[in-house]
Amino acid sequence: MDKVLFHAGVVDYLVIILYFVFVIGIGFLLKNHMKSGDDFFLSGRSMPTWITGLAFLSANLGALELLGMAANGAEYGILTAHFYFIGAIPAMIFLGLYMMPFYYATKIRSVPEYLKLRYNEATRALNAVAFSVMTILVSGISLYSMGLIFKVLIGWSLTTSILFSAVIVLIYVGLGGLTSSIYNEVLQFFLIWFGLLPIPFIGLHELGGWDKMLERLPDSFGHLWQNTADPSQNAMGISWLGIVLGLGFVLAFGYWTTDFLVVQRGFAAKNLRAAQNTPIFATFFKMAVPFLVIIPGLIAAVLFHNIGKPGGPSYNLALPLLIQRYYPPGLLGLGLTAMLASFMSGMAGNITAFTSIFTYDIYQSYIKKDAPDKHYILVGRWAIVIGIIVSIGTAYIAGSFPSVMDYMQTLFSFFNAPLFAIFLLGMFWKRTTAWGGFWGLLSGVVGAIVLYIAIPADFYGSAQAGNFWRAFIAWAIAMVVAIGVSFFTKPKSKEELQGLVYAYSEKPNYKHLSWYKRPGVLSAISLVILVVINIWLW
Amino acid sequence: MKPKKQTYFDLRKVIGGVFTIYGLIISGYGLFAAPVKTHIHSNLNLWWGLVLLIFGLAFLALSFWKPAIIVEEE
Repeated sequence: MDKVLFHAGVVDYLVIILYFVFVIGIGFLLKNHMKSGDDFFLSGRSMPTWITGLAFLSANLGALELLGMAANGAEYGILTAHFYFIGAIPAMIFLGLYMMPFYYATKIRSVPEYLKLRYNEATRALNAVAFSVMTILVSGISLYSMGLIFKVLIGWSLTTSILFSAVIVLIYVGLGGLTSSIYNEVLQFFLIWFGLLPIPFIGLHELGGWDKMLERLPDSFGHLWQNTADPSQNAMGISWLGIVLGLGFVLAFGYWTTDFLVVQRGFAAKNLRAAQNTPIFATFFKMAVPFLVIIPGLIAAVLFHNIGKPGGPSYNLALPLLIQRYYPPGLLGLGLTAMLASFMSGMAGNITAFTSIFTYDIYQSYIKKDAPDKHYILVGRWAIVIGIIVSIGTAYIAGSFPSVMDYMQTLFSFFNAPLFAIFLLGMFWKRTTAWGGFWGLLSGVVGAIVLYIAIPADFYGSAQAGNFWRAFIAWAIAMVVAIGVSFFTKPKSKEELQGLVYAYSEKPNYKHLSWYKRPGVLSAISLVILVVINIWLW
Repeated sequence: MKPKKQTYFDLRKVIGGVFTIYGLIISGYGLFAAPVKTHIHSNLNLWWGLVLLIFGLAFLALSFWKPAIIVEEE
């Protein structure tokens, strides 16, 4: 594609350059604060809820997410919003209320470290290595996609875009570690909102309002549940049972409660209550994101008749096409900055998660055990450099497979689904044994891959429906194997499990606090809003 | 006694600063250059720039009015 979508002017470049100055500035300001490993990898466990909460959301709000969800909105309609409602909110609340206490109170520094304490070294190693590989692959894919987008949008060459973006992330994460990543994510959160918010407003205004817009779309585009009784009646080809079990239960819980990329943000919180409130606080904003990405997708579906059709623009360009339509110079710079920001938050999130796991769960555990703190910060910085260089490599690999993103997401969810089963058993069934956990995890992952190879792609209504059901089966395999093996192996003693399982841990009590500080009350409010939205968009 | 926690610089000042500057640039550009788009009838740069400016100034004001102190709760 030789045609460039935007012609950025001087004022647009000024806005973009200023953003980079601030991003790198944050890195330099934080550099001198990075004295201990806790500072670098855990932000000194000192962050207030609003910062960790927004970072929690922002780490997940990568460019692929923005463009991909707008694209899905244009293709499937409001149905896409399930990813933000039932596919996220219950899981985030579960993480805050029930799982964060184990994570935070045991003072672990990574998700694999919990697996080591609860199960054994082998389970941890399996998880740490698999997670590192996945994270770097995903980070490379987002790097490539962003490079591609900027090539189409403003005409930078692919290599320029990739190298430039990689160097910026390298500088600010390398200097300021997790704190820098979190601070930037919060800034990115606001930039994404303020950079894209005019689009749904202007778009709905141009189309004459919400109802007028829906009148011009297929009927199933306006409903969350109404057309899900029969999979053939909605654009996604999925039934309500598939949505609830596959997306709402296994995929969502697997991702939000065990993926270190997001959980790590909670670890940086200043106390247990702030850690618990991190995902709960994030739910309120999460439920608002569809307004920012899916509504523009719907608007694009009305305005651009040939979108997604042969000869027309790809669905992925739904959001950029609207920016081009509405944004004058100046605001265009802000819109492009928002997209750059979302890309960088996604990539920096992957890199910080990789760095912590590599340094703590691979380097410190198997290569060099008792080095001073300074040594591990140095290793962490090198891990960032190496992680980013490998990401650049995987970015070019991603470039040679046009549909690799689909496969990656599929594989990624395979891995999280069995992991979630192992966490669930580990935390709530004290009889689960060390080897039960290991074999459950391994067989779940292997089972998922076997299923993926054995079942033909067209067996399910759509790739999404296939993901939902496969994830559920992988989860079930891990559960059954872990329970089975546990009956034949020796359980851990009560002393070993202190603080690691629900039965032997202290339950935090917040009854003396005002309501708006209590995780339970905030969760209840969030769930009520969730139900109201689902009824409204039924 | 819990160990003293690290205090980093106040993030609200950075956010406030970014949005104040962006607000000034974009609303200023809207005011003086007033670029037009076919599908937009009002001066979007000016209005949205002002929104950014107000947001930025609010964050700055908040950070000076209530300085960030790490208080150990509970």
